Amino acid sequence: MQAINQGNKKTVIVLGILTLAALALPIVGIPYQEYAMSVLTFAFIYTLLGQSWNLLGGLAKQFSLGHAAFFGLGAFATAACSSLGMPALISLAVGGVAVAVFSLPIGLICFSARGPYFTIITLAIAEILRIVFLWRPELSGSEGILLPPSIFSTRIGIYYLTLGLTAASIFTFRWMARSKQGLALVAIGDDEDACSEIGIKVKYIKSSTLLVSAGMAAVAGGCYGLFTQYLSPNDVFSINYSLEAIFISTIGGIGSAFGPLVGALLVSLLEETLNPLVPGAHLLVLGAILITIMFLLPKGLVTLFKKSDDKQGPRMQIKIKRRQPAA
Amino acid sequence: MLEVKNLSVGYGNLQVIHEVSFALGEGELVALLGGNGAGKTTTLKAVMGLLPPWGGEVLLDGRPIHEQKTPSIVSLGLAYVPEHKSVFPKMTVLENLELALNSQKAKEMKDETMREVFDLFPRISSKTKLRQMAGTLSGGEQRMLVIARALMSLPAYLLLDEPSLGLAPVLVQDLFEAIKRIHAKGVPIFLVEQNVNLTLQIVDRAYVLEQGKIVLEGSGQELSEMPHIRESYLGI
Repeated sequence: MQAINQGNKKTVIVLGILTLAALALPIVGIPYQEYAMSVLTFAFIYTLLGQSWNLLGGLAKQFSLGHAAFFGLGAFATAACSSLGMPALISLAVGGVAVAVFSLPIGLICFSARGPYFTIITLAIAEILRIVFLWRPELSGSEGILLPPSIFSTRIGIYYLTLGLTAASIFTFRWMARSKQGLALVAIGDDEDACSEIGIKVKYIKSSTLLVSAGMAAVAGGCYGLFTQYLSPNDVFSINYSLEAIFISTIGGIGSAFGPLVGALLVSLLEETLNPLVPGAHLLVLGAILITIMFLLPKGLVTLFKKSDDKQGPRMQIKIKRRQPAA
Repeated sequence: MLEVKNLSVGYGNLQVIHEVSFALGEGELVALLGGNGAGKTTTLKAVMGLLPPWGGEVLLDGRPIHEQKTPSIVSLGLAYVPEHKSVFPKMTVLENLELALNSQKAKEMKDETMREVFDLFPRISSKTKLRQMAGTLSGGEQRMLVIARALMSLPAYLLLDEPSLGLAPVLVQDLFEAIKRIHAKGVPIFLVEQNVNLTLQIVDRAYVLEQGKIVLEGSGQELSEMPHIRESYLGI
């Protein structure tokens, strides 16, 4: 399966060093340490969001245009639990589970029929939620809501939390992609009819994956809320997050476990360096990068780090195997 | 026993199948023959729940199944091999086979079924072939892979839609040999075919479909002697 890249010794060493560096960053004194930590925290939150989109979009080619719905709802659910006095980690978990349950009817309805329903309905749900949360003061209203401070409103607390969750999301993705379910998801992305014909329960597999995906996006939203301590519907339900999720996965590597991380790091870096110069400039550059990647590296930036024969699709492999006919 | 009673099917306003009835009993190898556009594939698709029937019933051991969805019908024991090559091209041959393990029993019997399938289709079961992308197999090998995949689900009934379509004559021979061997293991097979000559040699019984209606029915021997079959299908 193309979606899964093969681990080798070198990769493990490089990843180990990067992980150690990430773990050591808050402890070792370096210039701009605090700044680097908050940029990375946002990158990790984006990774979680991108990874959640990647589960369905990358493996099964089911494109959600409304992951902001799960992100925002997760943020508000976590906020609600926190203000009831629950510890931050429990609030985050409850938020994730609640949003996962919320996604279940959406999946069952959208995946009953084939076609672009999932894409359109997710887009609509994010917008509906934004309007409902703006309209009802008991939910949020236009002023937004504040979250009580917790250990995760400190830079160091949220940094380690999001770092840990990012690692967990990568492992979750790899585990799912390699499972029987992951195989079925890729098959669904290839040919849904053929899947039904051999008895794969397409609707069940897509809906259960959406459950995990929505929960993961909700946890990303929850982390965002815990860190910023302020949520407004116009922000967290904004289509920007839905698009960001797609950008990140596509630029980094669609259907790859490390794709969202690579994408999120690049997006955060661009945002931080270009936005102060010309507001919104990073979007222009991102657009250009996306188009370039579509043509040159259709499997995303992660392809650059893979072994050479992984880069080549099945078509190249035939060429290598085919012998020259005798003259 | 798989029974189809007075099945009518169509597309849009156009009725294609008119009250077709046939049966497939335990251990039987039965064929549905007919020319292009006779409605053979449409009939099979309706049996598999891929097209909604307009009328009539499909009974599996006396239980109606025509209102169920395809995956449920498959889990009841009907395996369908469509006419088009429906391998997953970017997955390996082995992964393609594993995708059909959708019931608990199929999962438990995996190793044993796999051995039987390799025995039936030696062309696709070498170690290198199993790791090869399914899209890189030849047309005939892909057809064999699809049949092998159907067998992985341990079907109670096997429905094959024109397996010989577009294959080289030598591969057609191999394929019919494999069908005979699957039948010998006791799996009832419903074979839709245009290759009337070869089919009539191996089947127990056959039905002839013309313009959406069953016009003839009989044993392989009987049909191959009928003047209508000899003129229209065998060209003798």
